[in-house]
Amino acid sequence: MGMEEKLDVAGAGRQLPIASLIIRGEVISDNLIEVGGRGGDLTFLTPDAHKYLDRLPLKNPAHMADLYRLKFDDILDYLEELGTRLDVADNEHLARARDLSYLTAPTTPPLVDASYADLKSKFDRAVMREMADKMIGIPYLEGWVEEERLNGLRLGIRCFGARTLHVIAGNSPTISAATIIRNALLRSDAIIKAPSNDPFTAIAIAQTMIDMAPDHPLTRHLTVGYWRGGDTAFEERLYQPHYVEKIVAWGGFASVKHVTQYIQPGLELISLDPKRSASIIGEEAFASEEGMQDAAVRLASDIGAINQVGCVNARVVYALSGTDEAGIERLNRFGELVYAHIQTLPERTSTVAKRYDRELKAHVDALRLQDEWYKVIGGKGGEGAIIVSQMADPVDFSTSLVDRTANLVPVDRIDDVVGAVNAYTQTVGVYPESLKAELLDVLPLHGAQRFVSLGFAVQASNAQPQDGLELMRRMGKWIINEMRSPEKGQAPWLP
Amino acid sequence: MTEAIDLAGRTDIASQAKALCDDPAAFFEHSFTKMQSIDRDRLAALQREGLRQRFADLKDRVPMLKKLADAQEIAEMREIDDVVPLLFEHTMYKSYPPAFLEKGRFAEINKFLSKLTTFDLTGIDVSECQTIDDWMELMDRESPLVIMHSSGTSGTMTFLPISKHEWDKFGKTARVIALQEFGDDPSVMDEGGDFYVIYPYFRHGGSGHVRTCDLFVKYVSKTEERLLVPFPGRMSSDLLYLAARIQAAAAKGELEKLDISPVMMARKAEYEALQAEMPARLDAFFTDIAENYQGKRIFFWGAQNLLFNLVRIGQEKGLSRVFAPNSVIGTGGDSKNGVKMPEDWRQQVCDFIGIENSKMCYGMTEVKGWHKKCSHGHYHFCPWIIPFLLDPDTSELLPRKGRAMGRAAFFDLGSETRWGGFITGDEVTIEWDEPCGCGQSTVYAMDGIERLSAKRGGDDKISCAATEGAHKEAMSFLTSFQ
Repeated sequence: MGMEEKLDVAGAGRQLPIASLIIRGEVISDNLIEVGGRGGDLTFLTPDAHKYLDRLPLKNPAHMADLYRLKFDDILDYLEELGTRLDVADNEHLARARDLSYLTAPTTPPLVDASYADLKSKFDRAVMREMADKMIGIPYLEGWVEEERLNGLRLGIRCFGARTLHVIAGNSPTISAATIIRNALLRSDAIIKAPSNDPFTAIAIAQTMIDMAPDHPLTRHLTVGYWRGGDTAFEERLYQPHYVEKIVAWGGFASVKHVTQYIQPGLELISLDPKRSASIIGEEAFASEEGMQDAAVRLASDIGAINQVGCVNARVVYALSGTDEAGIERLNRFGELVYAHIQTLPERTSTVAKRYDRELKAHVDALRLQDEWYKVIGGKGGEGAIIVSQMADPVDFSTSLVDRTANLVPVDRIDDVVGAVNAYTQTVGVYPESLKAELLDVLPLHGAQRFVSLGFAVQASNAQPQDGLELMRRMGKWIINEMRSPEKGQAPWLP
Repeated sequence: MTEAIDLAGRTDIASQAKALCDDPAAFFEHSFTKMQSIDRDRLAALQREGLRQRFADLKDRVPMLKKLADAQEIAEMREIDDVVPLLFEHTMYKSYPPAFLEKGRFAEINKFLSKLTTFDLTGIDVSECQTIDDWMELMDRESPLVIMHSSGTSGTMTFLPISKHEWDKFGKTARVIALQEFGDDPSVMDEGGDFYVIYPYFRHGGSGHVRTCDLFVKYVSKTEERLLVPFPGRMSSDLLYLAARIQAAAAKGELEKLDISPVMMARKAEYEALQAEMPARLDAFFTDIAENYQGKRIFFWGAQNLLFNLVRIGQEKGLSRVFAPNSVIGTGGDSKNGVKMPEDWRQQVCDFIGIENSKMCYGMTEVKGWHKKCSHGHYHFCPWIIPFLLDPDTSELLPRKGRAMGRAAFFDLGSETRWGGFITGDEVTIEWDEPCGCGQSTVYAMDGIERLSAKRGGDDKISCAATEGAHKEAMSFLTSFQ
């Protein structure tokens, strides 16, 4: 183990925290350089990744053989045991990472706490088994699955792991856990590039793995480090097909942009694109007081949960309230309800934003004065705002809505809600459930990737496709073994 | 130069402040030296009184200001800092519903603009206007305004309602700032021969920089014949808007939903044709200037990249020290648009033109003054413009003392038909106390002004809810990848 740094968050000015570099079971805290500190962010120290570049990749892919001596149940045993150790109450790595994440995360301490408390559940054995089984099929991970084709071909198929580099997002610590689980289940080798707004979580889990089983193959196939995304000199040496076969990139602009220039035959990019989400509220919501309250509390949750830092959060909301005077009035009242419900969401779900986006506030404040065309509810402090368009027209800054700020847009007909959905749409929350029937086969053509019952946007299972793509299947290498004999079919060499 | 400037007997602070606000060029007797020598305490008193007068005059006449002031229960300005809650966000001038412009609802745009100026524009009949160009030309003709629009990169155009009188007033001060150096006698403006104004773009148009051509003709070349432009027509505001909408729609994945009128489609073809012939036209233009205006006194004021195009073409022809040594070349301040220029571009410009130094200013369309860089590399603020620094996160006013960095905001005392308070997106360092070694008395900004958006947060901050612009760039990168 490397040196153990003293944690001194309160005196961070004097003693900067260290984000260690983890290379295949080894904790490195030497050759420190200072990073971060922009825009009021935490400044932290981390080993200069340039100095360790040659050690980051698994140079010889044959060294993944140790993973293939594990049974699938061995992997589950390991992960399950790891899960039991991911409790901030008795894991000092994790407790430290959580405390530091208070300073780096885009969310507030109660939400960081909730995410950390949720980590263990990701490692539930049954959940992980379901994930592997539904997303890939455990037999394909465990060995060769034999199948037969109509032309007599006997086929063996096995899903192999790959040497994968993960450029992960920093809006939730659970992304680190999910990445480590996926990597292990696939028997892959992972290099995780930690994000600047969550540089500590993945490292803390890796340190826990080292404490638990320093020589275990799963510990030895995980590398975690921080380097500034877009460091071309560094990345063009690391992002090479002879080091890395797949890159999973979570839509960080600079990182993805720079990653794409290294993509070439032998190096595949799996991009979890930047996405936005929308909601559609049917006329039923406006037909009764109960409907109005029910839809409002659900929508408040889709807007406010995890403080709207996720791509799953609702931002533009199309409402079939009608665009006549009475319809607008209904929507204004609905907006008031949504705003009020956002303010009363439980603290583990949503809080006042850490730092209300300054540019967004400028937009919101300007619209507040345009009350003929927009009704702005709230938003004077940093608590979030509901902007109700007084005509069937979303605000022009709809793509920058964040920090519990959403735009309600009145429409008259279901055909008008198509405007809510485009190529960058991920989740569509719908109310009531029956309205989905009209949308399910239509909106995917426009870009929608996921439908949810209004109010449940932030709840998902890992055992389902993500963002319109089969992430786990793509993370594996699907190797085939074709078995034929001259007796069973026409051989090419025979006349 | 600390003695009170003689204002034909007007010695009380109220009438002096009014004189400064109403005609800064006349107030300083068209002298850049006087402008930049004003005693700081006296200026502070004039600015405070000017601000008080402007607020008292405008608060019931600019509806949006009234609304903001009423909401904050602000009835008068006592101190300069009192204005901070009333500074307009840059978003204010584009906070109309996007459909107004998309669907050509110009009556509604006029209604929107009427809230931002003392003029009621709702009586102007715009029902015949089909395009933004139609509307701009009509407004030029029938309104008291010189409306200026932005390029509309977010898909919505900013419309700034400046009166013709204010615009002309700016022209007078611009002449003083552009043509004199600190220490010069104002007579230098009229000595040394005629100016040929070079503007390597369109002669007419609705954006602030194109409109400046009118001022250059009136106050620098003094005649239209000595204005040299490669495109004598009008830069179409509609085409600019269309380009912005295409970009914005592409970024949202909604290109196929773009609803473009047939009028616009016809113009699109025209635009493409113009685009195609632009390089050759510009080349011919620059060649003509380099060959036929050698030794002439030229005036160029504008974007660095436009200027550098001229230099590059001249250099290719092996030319140097082409124009009269008393030519005037000025460009905008620190790089805001990310155009990459060679390190020594300024020297290359001087060598090619044949001048000792080029001038550099910091300014913006929304605030009518050019803050010129001095021999010590500092941008000295024009006396009729009150600078503020705000905390970039909270917009709280930062103390006006020492040397501080923050989001710049300004109050333009010259603004008399719209509200002069404006918050920029620029991060600026201001030295409030220490006098500058150049001898100018005014407060100044340090070199290195940056756009906050480019600097803050950084690109490495990862969140899957990406900004539109970022993703647009990523997409264009992906599509260009082989």
